[in-house]
Amino acid sequence: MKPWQWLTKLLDPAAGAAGKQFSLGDRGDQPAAEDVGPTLLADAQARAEGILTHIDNLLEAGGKGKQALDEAGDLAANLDENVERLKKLFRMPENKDLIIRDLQIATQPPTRAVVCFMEGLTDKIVINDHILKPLMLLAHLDHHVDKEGENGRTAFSIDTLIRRLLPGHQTAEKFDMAAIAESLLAGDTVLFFENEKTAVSVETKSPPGRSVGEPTTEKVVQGAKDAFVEAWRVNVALVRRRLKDPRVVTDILKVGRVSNNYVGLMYIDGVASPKLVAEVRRRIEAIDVDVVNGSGTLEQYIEDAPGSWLPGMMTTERPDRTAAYLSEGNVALLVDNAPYALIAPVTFWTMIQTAEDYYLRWPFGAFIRYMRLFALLVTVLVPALYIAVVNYHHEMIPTELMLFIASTREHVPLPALVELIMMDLSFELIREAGTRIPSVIGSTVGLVASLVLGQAAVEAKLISPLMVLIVAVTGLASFAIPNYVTGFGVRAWRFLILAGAAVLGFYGLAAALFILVIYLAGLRSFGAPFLAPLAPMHSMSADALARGPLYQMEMRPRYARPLDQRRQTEIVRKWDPLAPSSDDQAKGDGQDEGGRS
Amino acid sequence: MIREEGHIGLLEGAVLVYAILSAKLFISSPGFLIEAGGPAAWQAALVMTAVGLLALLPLGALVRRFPGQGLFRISEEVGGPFLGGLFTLYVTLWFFANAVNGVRNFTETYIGTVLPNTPPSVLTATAVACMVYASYRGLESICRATQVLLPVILAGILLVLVFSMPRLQISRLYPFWGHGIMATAAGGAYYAGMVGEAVILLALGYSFREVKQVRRAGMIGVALFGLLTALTVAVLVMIFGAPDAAQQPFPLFNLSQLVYLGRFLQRTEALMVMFWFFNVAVRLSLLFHASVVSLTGLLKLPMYRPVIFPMAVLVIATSLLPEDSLVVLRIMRDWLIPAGLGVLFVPAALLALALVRGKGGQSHAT
Repeated sequence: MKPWQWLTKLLDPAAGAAGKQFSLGDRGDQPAAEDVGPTLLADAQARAEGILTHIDNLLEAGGKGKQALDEAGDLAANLDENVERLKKLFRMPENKDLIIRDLQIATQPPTRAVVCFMEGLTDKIVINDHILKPLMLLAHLDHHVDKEGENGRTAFSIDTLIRRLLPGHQTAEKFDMAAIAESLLAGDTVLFFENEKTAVSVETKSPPGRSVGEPTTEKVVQGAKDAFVEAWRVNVALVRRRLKDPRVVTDILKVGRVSNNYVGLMYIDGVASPKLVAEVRRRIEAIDVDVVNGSGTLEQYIEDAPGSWLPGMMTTERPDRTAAYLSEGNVALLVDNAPYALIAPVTFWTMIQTAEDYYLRWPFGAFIRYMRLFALLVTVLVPALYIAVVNYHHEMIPTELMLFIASTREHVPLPALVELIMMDLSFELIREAGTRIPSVIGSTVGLVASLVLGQAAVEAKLISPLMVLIVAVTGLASFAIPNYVTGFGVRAWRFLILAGAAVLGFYGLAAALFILVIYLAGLRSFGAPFLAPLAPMHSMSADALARGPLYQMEMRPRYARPLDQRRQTEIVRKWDPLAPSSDDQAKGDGQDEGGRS
Repeated sequence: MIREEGHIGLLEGAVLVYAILSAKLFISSPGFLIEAGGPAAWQAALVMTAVGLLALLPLGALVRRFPGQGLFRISEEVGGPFLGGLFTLYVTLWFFANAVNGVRNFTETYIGTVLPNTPPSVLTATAVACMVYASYRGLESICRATQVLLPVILAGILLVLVFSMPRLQISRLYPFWGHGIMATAAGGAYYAGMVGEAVILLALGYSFREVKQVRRAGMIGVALFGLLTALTVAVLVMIFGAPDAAQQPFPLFNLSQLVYLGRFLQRTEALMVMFWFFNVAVRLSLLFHASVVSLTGLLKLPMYRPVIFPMAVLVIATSLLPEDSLVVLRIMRDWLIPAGLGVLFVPAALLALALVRGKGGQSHAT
């Protein structure tokens, strides 16, 4: 561009003005009716054609019994007409993902057919070897397909085709276009035939996916190292591998009008409460939204209190945990495209448990669980206690310590509360940045940032050294809370309680805690009280706050109301000479039954 | 709807009764018993408990005749719209007056102990905010929260009593019969009005899963409160002596000031006051909620939540009426406790009326 041209453009008020720039509508341009109209009209025409064909087929099947009526879909007997409707449905020719292959089945005389599949979602080898080869090359060998009809013409039978010529492990007849579209989008291959109102789908799914890897957020020292992946069917298999029981049920639901995402609803029939299963199914089926693309999204649509600071379902990437919860009568949801399972119902205490608790010997499992409870209290209370003591209740601590605290704060111009909030926010910033930075340098950046920032803030006399200690201990404790979302909630409580302590000392702290407990006591997760088994008090089977010996966990947790409450016999270690004998157990059982009767 | 508040069981009911009663131990109530019983105040506490338990006996029979019903429905059915309404109004007003007195007493206690420079209105507003939120969340939430907080509530009393043991002088419990058996028994019976709050089980009885649990919950709660009261007044007498202990406006607070847990944690009263807050907040929430629910029934309103905020404003306004903390204490001793005795016998009166008029039981079932 020559200088004067550039200058002219720069000085011309109309040159870069609105009129020449592309706008989606924020400058008063509304989408033209003629752009929207044809699309809507085409859709309506396609639907109308389908409905009319469906009515014709129904009329034709009218006197032929129930099966004929069931099989009367909206497909026409004309192959080209069906293919044309499919093309319209999939927005061809703009859409290049749908592959349509015309072929002749090697019957005598040859039968015309069309093979359709979605590029990228299917296994080409299966299509070539198990669909195209048998139909195009081997069909003439099969006399059953190519038998002579009564009128002397070739009788083509889809039933025989499915039984003898399509060796795919799952095939199904399809009678309407919606079911065909669903199959195609799932990765199946669909065959249309000349003069047939029935299509056949063959299972050829091969969506892109990664192989099973290790857990990233729920690592254990002892225990399985596999984690869920994005393919929900693989995840179901990982769970089933651990629960080899025919009572394990996987129901398939779909969510999202556009996403049509699969959700596997897993439970153990006879253990999980039917009311729970029905409620989970009811909530998922009631979702009316265009896209649900993962477990985190689905959770927000179905949990009891989506505005709550704590999750109403537990997210886990571990198949072993999922299997364990299923065995306790919970329900698991495996959402396609999400490497997590959603567990329902849950309680607050399940959020601070890990798989490691059970793999360790029970005293150590109990110890780390108590440590996590302690960490929870530290995270929530320590900053607030510090502010309350420093600002309101100096008399509680020895004079020497109080004087030391005062001396460290002497040069700090900010009030203790502002110091604490600044440090807390900095800590949150470092945490968030550490999560978003590429993992190779993330931890280094976090470490450097925290060290340098803390040291610099102390030297600049913006922060007292004790405050760095308080925030560091609190931050460290918050990392001990295993559930990611619960960690968020707990950190948010910290600020609420801090606000109470800052305004009214221990009084405010207690008021904030009281409100928090009242709030938690009223929460429910799929019908289970969130604070159970502490409130309401249930027998805890030594597995809620504490973690007892596995052989003493005889009952399943009551909060999920399992149908079968007992998970093991009273005497599990029957080989143990010190264990009560089976006779004693029988007597005990008899007494129990007597007591109950 | 009121019925949609959830359900409570035996343990929750017992904890509820204990918590609503035990908060009185932090204010001047132990002083009243010591005044009545002298060195034998613990006996007065036991008499108070026994009378309370006796008065609660008819409660079980009454709620069994009217399963799943609360005070307002039972009163109306037994006494008709006028007399039944009077019963409900009496109990409701008593709960409300106790809530108002409790809020003011609570504020005065905190100003007199750990937060002397804080404006009373801030403390009152905070306490009322807590009870409004609790009432808004419903009875089930309050009961469950009380269960969670029970260890802290119990620790708030037991720790002070245990840590005071080195200062106990058993000789101060003598003379054993105090001012005399009759005086002690009369004083204990008079102060049975202190357990009048147990009638909350009648006001909120519709929430119980099983009717037969109502009486047992009441008995357990009152018995636990009675035992702890006897223990507390005995410890107070053994440390301060009966004359001094009777004069203390905040006896348990004064006791906690004497606690020394080593050099690092020298004075724990602020911490104890925090523990006591939970108990007081539970008590106020329950009293407020019971009065809100009973009033809702009395006015035949379908939902209780709209009543909460007007009632909260009333609580704040009326709590500001007494001139000072002495007036607040006098109102409690001279008006609320005697009226509580009447409240305690409301179940017996309703049961007698139901028997005479043939209400409830089979006729109700049909």
